[in-house]
Amino acid sequence: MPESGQTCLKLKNLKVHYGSLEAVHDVSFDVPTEKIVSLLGANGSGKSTILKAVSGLMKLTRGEIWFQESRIDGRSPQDIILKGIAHVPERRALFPHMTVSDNLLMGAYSRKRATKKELEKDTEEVYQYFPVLREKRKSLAITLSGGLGEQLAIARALMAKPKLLLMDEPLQGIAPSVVRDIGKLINDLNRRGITILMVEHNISMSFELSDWIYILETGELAIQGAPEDLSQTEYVKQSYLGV
Amino acid sequence: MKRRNLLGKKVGIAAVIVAFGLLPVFTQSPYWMHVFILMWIYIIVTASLRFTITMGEWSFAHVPLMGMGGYASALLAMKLGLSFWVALPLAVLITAFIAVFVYLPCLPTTGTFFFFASYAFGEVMRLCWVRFKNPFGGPAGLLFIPAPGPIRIPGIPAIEFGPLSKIPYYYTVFVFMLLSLLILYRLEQSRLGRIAEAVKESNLLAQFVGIRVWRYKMVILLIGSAFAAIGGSLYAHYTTLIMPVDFYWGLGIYIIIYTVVGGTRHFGGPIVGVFLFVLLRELLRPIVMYVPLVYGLILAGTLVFLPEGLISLPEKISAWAMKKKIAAA
Ligand SMILES: Nc1ncnc2c1ncn2[C@@H]1O[C@H](COP(=O)(O)OP(=O)(O)OP(=O)(O)O)[C@@H](O)[C@H]1O
Ligand SMILES: [Mg+2]
Repeated sequence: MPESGQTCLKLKNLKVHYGSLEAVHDVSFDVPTEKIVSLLGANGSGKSTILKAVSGLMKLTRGEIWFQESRIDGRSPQDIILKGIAHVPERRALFPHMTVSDNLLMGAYSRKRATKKELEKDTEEVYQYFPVLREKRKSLAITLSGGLGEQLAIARALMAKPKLLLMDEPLQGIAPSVVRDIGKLINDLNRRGITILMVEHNISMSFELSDWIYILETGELAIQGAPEDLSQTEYVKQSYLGV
Repeated sequence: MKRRNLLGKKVGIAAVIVAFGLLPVFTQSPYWMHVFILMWIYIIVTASLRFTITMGEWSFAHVPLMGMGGYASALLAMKLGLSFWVALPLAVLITAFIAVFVYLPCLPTTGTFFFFASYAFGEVMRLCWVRFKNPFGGPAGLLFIPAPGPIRIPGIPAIEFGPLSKIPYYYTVFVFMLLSLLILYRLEQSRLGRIAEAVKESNLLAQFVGIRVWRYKMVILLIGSAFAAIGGSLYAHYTTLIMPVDFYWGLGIYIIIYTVVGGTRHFGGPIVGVFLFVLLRELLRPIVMYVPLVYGLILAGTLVFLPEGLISLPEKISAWAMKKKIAAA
């Protein structure tokens, strides 16, 4: 368990099924407030399923999910977004034939109370983070490059004003030169007080960014620790670092 | 520049409305009145089908639901003696209610599966009209559906609906069409329209941003069904007889062809589509057996050369002219 002050997200004995297939067996872990936590594991080990369970898109077979002081499993995705959890899904999901600015507005969908003025202000704030998106605000999302697309996917999630950001493989399919930029961006967001739970296959980047790492193996937690300690273990050396 | 375009468009639309509003002044030929009355009805049905398509699924139950509107309205008038003016809104509600059960089993599916599922459940409804003579009249359908009651406006003689003149029908259907189009247009510009677009663009991402995809798909399908029912009710009380075969799958295919050839991405697409095809059909009367062939060729040609439909033609031409101008300069 990572030593820290408050817990942002707490999973207790999570079990999740797709029909009869058990994707997550019995997973418990904590994400401390204002930290970056990575969830690693082989293909099909259940990482995306866990993120979807947290954002309410998958029903739990068993277990509990706590966000800050309240229990959120069984709530609707909309309620969960409103509580402050935004999800950047894998493979850079965007609304392809909507403009960049419309994509951003859809990100604020759940904030039904927000006035037009507030949304404009928030859009402006997000553009300050992503100046290239501002230049392209009238372009269709489908015309963006992979790196910009990822920026838009993240920017879209930020429009929900999250306290916790779930990121599913934000670095997937991104040129090595741009990986650093996105990494820096994740760090910046975290420094501004957003807790981050991310899933990545880019081991070196997630070891560099994260405060704590959980490694999943076919639906169960195999090992966890701070990156500097984990990289010394035989398990990680053998299965991930290839040494 | 853009604002002037918009103004030009508005003036153009107003001119078209006024022109067709004055049509009976120029011709009272029952033949042409009949053609246009049916055209207005098809525009309601086709525009509402396109409205449902904005959320990404193609319904093949739309025409049977139009029929449901016709049957419900006719039966309310014949069995309960209600006036058309009361029966129509009730028929709309009844059809929307039945549409819940038609679409509920279809909603877990998408794409081709949704299309065929909606065909199947629409067809079940249609077969009920064939099978149950009481109250639906079986294969022969319903005869002697009462015409709308007279409209009484103080100061002028009552407007009677009857076999003598088609003009009252013409204006009634025309007004229903204009109001339907206005409402559908406003809905598309509203928040609901944006949600529909998001659902169509990415069913999955829509869920991630918190849209209750199922609920909104259902809401949009029910609104579409309600307008289909308006079309059906007008049809029933105008023709005074309806049969199950009036709402068979072939009409569904035609409506889809009108929509695609006109253009699904633009609100005006299906309107243009219906207009051209209904007139074309009249022109092709001498060679009526070739109508499906001609329709098929037009559909194929549009899909290949104008995938965004005929309504995108002016845009394409002006883009082409611009290119020429730039090349010449
Ligand atoms: N929609 C689905 N229907 C049925 N089974 C699924 C579905 N999505 C995932 N699974 C199964 O659930 C298990 C966990 O999948 P999940 O997507 O969570 O893995 P992952 O760790 O994210 O993998 P990857 O690294 O490839 O993204 C896998 O066995 C997978 O085959
Ligand atoms: Mg995954």
